[in-house]
Amino acid sequence: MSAAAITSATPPAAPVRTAPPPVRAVRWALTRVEGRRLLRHPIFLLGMALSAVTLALMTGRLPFGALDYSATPSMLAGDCFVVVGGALWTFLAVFLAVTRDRRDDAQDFYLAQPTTARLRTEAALLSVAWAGMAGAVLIALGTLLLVGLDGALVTDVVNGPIVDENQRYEVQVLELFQGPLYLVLAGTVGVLLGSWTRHVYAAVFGALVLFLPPVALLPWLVFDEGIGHGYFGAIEAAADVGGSAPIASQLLGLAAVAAAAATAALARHDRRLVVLVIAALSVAVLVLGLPAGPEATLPGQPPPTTP
Amino acid sequence: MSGQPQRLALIARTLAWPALIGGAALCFAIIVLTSLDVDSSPHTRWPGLGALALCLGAAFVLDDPASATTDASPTSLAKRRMLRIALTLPLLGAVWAGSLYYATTADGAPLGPDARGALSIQASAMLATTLGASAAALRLMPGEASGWAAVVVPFALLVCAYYLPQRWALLATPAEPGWQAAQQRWVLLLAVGVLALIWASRDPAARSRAGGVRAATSLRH
Repeated sequence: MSAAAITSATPPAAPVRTAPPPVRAVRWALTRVEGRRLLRHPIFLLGMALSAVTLALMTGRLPFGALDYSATPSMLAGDCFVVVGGALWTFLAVFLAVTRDRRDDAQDFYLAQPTTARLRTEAALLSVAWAGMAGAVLIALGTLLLVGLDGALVTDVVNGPIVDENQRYEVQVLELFQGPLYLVLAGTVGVLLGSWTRHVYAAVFGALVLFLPPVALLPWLVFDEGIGHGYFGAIEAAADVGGSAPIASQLLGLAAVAAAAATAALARHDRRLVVLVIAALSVAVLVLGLPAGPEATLPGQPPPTTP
Repeated sequence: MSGQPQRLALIARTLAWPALIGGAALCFAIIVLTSLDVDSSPHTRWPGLGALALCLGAAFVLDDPASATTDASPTSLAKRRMLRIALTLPLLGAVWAGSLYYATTADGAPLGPDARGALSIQASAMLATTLGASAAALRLMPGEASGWAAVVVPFALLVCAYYLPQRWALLATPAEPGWQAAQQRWVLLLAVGVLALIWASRDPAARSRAGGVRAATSLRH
């Protein structure tokens, strides 16, 4: 038999079929691991402890701290996470987690792993939901303890048993979402910064500029006639801003900023068109959503009056 | 090239210049932005906000990536840290002086040129406490880059300045009755920071050598 006959008689080799990589399962597994690590991170725990202490001190139920219940609605709406509350520390903890491989100069080790950098970034973004859930648990517990199941709170305790109906406050579910969403936003910004730089000082300056008034409020104080429209930490209760429409607008703005930050973080690894489209949509929602949001004030100052 | 400039050049290469320059830029930006808002409260226009940004950058000064090598050199830890701080002081001082001049001569500045000395004491206290905390972190925590943990200090000072009750206030204007007391607290912070820096910069090798001498002496007796 000639060599040509042998060649023609041999069936072509079947392509080796490999199972598609279980990307979804890997992403979910990484997310769970990162989420658990975030919840156990000392910096995150410190932030949540500070938030809980702030909530307890400012709601007037302790023999020290606030003298009345007037701050309870805004604290439950998420003010306990602002300034030195949980958001700042969530941002730092997530940043440190995302930059772990580059800070330790272990990129080579991670390159040998089956997961890609984009997948790890996606898992880091999804793990931020764990922080949001922790914030939601704190707010839910606080609401149950301070307001009760009926959702009604009389903020005027000076007059004792005589209830001033003008001081009766009804908790709205919508406003309770602000705090957890603010934590998610802070974590997402941490992933964004951590995706683009490995230097810790970037996070430190970012924390000062983004989350800590009065520095974080400066652009709005200077360029927006003293009104803090657009400051991420502007969280108000429905009783102060007149209805749920401004709260919904604020929630939309927070979600849009978080989406934009997540998109920008993913753009570090994937710059396809879909990413840019999502970014453009996010920015559009951001521009539409924020101008109607609640107003922010400096610590210790009364809210700005509108003419 | 003589030995000392060569050594300074080598130390300068190990300093976290991006952090220092970032802090300096942020300091100047904060000072300019606060000066633009003429109608804002004196506490919003406090030049100390710029100093806090400077201190955030300075928190990385004592982190020495070469410390594993230099620990074995005959130069003491205190001298090595003094050299690192001395190399950064011209930049920090120049940025602070420029920012302070701008802040105190801007339109409607609540703190005029008379307050420059007091404000500089506040900035020095912030810097001293930051460096003291950084040195303490390097002494107490493992790792050659744990000094940046001192960034907590400027954040804590910012919160204290705005949230402490009146009887412990750090933030006041010369027209307010609590100005003198607030300045005394800043001087106290300055002293605490310097003492912490000195305590944490004692050379561990010298300490163990002294302990070894004592141990040897006690054995002889």
